[in-house]
Amino acid sequence: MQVRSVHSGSGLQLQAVAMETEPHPAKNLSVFRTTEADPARHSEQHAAQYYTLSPTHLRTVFPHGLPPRFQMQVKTFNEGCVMVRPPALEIISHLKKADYSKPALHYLLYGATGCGKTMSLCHVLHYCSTQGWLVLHIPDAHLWVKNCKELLPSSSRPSRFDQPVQASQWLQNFKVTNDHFLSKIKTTRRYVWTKRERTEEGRPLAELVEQGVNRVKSSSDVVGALLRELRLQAGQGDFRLAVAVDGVNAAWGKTSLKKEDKSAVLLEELTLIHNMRKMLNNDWCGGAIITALSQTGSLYTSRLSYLPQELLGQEGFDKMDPFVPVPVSNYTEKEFESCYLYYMDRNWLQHPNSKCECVNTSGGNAGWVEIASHVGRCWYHVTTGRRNAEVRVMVNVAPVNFVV
Amino acid sequence: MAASTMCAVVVAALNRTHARGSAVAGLQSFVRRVAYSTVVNRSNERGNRGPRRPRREAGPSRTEKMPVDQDWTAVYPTAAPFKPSAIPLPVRMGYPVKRGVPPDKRGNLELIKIPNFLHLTPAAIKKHCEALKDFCTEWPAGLDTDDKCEQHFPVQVETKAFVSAGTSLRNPDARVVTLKVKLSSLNLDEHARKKMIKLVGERYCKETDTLTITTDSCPLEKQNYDYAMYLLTVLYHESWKVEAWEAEKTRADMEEYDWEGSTSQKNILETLLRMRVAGEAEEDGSVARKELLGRPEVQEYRDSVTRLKNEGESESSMLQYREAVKKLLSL
Repeated sequence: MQVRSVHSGSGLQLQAVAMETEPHPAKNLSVFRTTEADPARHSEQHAAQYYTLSPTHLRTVFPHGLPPRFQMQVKTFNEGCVMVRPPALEIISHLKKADYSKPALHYLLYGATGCGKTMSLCHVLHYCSTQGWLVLHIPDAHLWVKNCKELLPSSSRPSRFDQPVQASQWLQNFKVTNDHFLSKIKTTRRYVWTKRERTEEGRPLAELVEQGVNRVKSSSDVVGALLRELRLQAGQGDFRLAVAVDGVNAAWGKTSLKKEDKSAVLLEELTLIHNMRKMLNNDWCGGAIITALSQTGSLYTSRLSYLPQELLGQEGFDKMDPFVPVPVSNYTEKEFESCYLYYMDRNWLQHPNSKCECVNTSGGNAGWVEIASHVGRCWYHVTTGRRNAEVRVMVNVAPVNFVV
Repeated sequence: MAASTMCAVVVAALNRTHARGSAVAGLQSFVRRVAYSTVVNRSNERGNRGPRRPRREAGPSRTEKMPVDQDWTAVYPTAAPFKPSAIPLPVRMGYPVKRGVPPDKRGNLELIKIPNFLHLTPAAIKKHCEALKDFCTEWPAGLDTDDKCEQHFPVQVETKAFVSAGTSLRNPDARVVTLKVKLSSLNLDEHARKKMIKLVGERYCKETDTLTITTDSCPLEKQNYDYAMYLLTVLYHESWKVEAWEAEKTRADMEEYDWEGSTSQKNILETLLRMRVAGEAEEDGSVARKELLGRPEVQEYRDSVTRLKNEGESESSMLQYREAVKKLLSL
């Protein structure tokens, strides 16, 4: 099968590659990679190329942010490589040019399931982190509205419900990402948790977070206090705040949680969701709100819906308005070539026909390409008769065309 | 010889009784008894009626003698079963056994079982129409287009009459009356039109702007027709009335999305004001508001949001909204 040499397109690109890497005999293999690891310097010339995340960044910036399949891939390949794609580049360019004395702008990544919204969000967050911003990442808001075993009535407000486990877990991950900020930022008022526990004014935020991690019962209120502090102080110019929420449609959807008397819990009654909604208002300045929709974990939505108004609902749309919708589409031909070459380079795909298998089964959707690569691998093993795990992969895809 | 006479006697006896069942049984036992005889006497179904007439061979079928321009209404003047010899079509019907072909029309019971409309060809219908013309009046000359009919006769009433051969003339399905009228032909202002649409609910079709009232609650057609006309009159008059509680209409009751006074307008004004306040000194509230609303980017934004909410979502409307927001926030 003839391999289309898409990457030898623009001379400018080849020049850039030549400047970055030292003379390599198998140059065509490194065309899908770029050595530019700083997201601030990514531009159109790096489009459809993979850049490597350093292990320290992987640990600190993304303790809980990466999609689970990508985490498996990182473990398998021993490196985390993210493709540079236009949606992320667009948001990064807006962030570079934005005026941070004005109210925070909303950016909403939307697209079909598996097209790369979460990965684009992670790319943008990596940029924010390398630029020294405080990153507030809620990896999947859907996890806060379903499958909650413990739902405590809130101690501070009688009508609300706390989720101690989710809140304390999130606080731990937040600490990992933003440890260096927590000692610098101070609280602006006194918080009383119980009769004996309180946090005074002027204490570092690290103490607040410790309180939430240790005393799980009040962790939801700690999250609320933390968000409030960050909102108030981001405008003062010491630091910039990036609020990133994946699956933001959960904030205005429905819950599947039930109270003790089997009546449904409303979203407004959950402390975590209430505080998250306050954060998503653009009444604070000194940062940006980058969000992504997600149908995959959402409750009571059709599997085929992906447009913002369908998933956010009327209420969500009105609250997010005005936002900049950023569409994420399936892989272009060039991006698919990159992905395929990367998998070949990592020895993930070996059989020459695995490329057609990937194309046919995935139709260009990024998530499905990854799954189809599993199909390609197993197929190879089956056809060569090597003893390997049985091929039991059910791939159910809708035919989607390449975006040119 | 004795056997043959015995046979004749037995058969004569059998003929006299005329009982087939007993005759067969009797013949069977008779054959058993005379099984040793050399002459096997075949059973004679015709009895004493005489020797069988030779079977007449069927001649060439009528289809071969049919000219191409024949009058088909003469072949099938009324509803008649399928006659393979009279229909010049190579029709096949039935299950193709053993991967074969469907059976031929000759001797095909399936074709005979099904109803056929060979007596209702266009030529036959033409003849019926010509015959019925004597009982009809002429179509009015002025009503030659659909639009003119619509203009002069906006209300269309549909009824069904049923004819069947039976002991009774009555058919309960004949009482249903359907009344169709276009709302554009009624004299309604904006408020009356919206109220009318809310009152009738499902009976209004937005695409064709038609109100359809179906009545079947009364036993007679005339009663249902009067009821339908009464309903139309009442709806018309009620929709023109303005009640006191109509003043409580909320945004959720509105039929269309109106940007004025919506949360979207509020949000954008707040955002723009905040952006302004951050940059420059504070200005007078209402003046700033009017000026902001008058800007072309805000107009574009308003159009895109209205389109999104009214027409529903699609890729193109989303892209339009995107462009409008980017221009507005000067990205």
